[in-house]
Amino acid sequence: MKKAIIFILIGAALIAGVIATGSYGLSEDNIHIYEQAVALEKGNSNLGFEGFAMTDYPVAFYDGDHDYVIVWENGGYNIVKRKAVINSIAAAAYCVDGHYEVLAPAVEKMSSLLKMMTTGSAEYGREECVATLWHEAFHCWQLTNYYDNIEAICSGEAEENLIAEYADTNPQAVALFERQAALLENAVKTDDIDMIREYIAEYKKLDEQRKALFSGNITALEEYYTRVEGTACYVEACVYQMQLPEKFCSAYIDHISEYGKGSNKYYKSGMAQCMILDTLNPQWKESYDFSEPLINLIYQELGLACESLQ
Amino acid sequence: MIIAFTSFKEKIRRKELYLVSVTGVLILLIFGTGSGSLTINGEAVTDYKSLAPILLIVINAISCSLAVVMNIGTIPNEYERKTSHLVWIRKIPQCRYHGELTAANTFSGLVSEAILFLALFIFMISHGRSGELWRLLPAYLMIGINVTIVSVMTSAFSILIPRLVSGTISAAVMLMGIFHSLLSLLKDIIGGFGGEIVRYALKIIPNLHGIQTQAVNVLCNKSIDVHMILTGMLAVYAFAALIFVLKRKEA
Repeated sequence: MKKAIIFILIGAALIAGVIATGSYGLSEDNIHIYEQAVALEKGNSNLGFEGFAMTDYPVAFYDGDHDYVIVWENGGYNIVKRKAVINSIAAAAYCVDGHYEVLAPAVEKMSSLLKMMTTGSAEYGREECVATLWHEAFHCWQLTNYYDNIEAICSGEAEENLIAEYADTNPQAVALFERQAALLENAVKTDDIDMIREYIAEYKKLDEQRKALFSGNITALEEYYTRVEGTACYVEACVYQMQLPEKFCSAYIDHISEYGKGSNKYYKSGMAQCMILDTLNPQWKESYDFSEPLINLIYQELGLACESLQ
Repeated sequence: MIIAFTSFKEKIRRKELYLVSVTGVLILLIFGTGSGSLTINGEAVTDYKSLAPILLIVINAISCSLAVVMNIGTIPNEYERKTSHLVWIRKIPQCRYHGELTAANTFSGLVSEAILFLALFIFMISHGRSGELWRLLPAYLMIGINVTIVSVMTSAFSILIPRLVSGTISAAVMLMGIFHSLLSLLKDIIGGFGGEIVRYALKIIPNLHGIQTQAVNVLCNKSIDVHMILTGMLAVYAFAALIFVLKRKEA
């Protein structure tokens, strides 16, 4: 009997220890990330996109079991725990109960995923996480305000496998895209308008050749990623630059010309087009409604004749 | 404890225990002392902070696997050989009998782990870490928690479940425990029904990887997560309770 009591007491002590040392709720790291993201908004408002406010959209951090939803209200925030909406490690703008929310993995989750996938060579810290929140919040804003214009770019689901099936397997298209991306990178890296015009004129010629290789579906899909993801990637890059200016070029600019399979290359070329527009006309985004290809705006700014690419 | 002592003596006389342990030590020494080349992304891994975790992963995997092998047949064998009757006539309760056999196996597993830790000892000296050798003790105890979990769990399963099935379940649980973090990420990536199954499985499977990470943290002078260690000890406790509760009909 005495031994049984001792055994039960040991168990009770262990259970108490486990409960006492456990961490519950959203970790401080994630809360700091949200606060850091909000602080950037206070300093820089909307990055030039009229009506865009990161704090308009709840941010749900997924910790592997639950979502912790942070809602900004009256100059402060509330955190609510709920059942995970998508139960998956994904950063996304997601419609929940009729409004868009930012879904993001908790930084610990994302960090361990990246460490596993890159055997520790890639880092995903606070700054990257803050930039991701802005990227997804921008999608929330796009979808809340310009849903019809975005739908019009590419009807139906944006099926990334079409890119892999057609664009990435056509050597001529790959070669042309690589040359185009290199021209965009050069244009981003210079402030000389004449040089930019020269690069973009060459880009335009190559673009016409490349588009002739594909059906309208592929072109529309590429345009969707360039316009919708490219602008969000641009927002992400701006936010990253505000936090880590010394790492900005190596993280975002120096890789524009690198070809990668899948849709990510369009994110980069769309971002590059936004940056070129910043050089040509910093007010371009005040009234941008996603109905026009970014490259058309560049052609217009440079006085290069263009035909409709839609 | 006479049963445990006798069984322990019998176990540590087995050549297989030393064969596996010494082979493990040799493998660890080949990589740990730079005689072999271990590369990640084409780059040779030679520094202490990169190699120490790898060596501990290997020690953990070998020790846990040995624990399954040593425990899988001990209790069923006693019943098959009818040696259990010699115990019953002395009025020794079944729970004590099973408990002592398990304890003997666990100690054998810890001896094997200690042999494997010799490689880590040599590795630390060869990397000029003689002043930090004391870290081996907490690291040893932490990996020891994993060895104990696997030992006690396998013994508990083997009381009622046929050997092949209990061995398969124990090995599966051990592997899932070792790859706990990986599976936790996988379930988030795959999602859906498969993801849900893995999610619920991981809730009851001991996080052997988490405890092993704490041992790595000790060796690399990083902070440790006490919660993870206490959870491991609680798992030992839960399986030990099963050993005391489960009874065989043949007795």
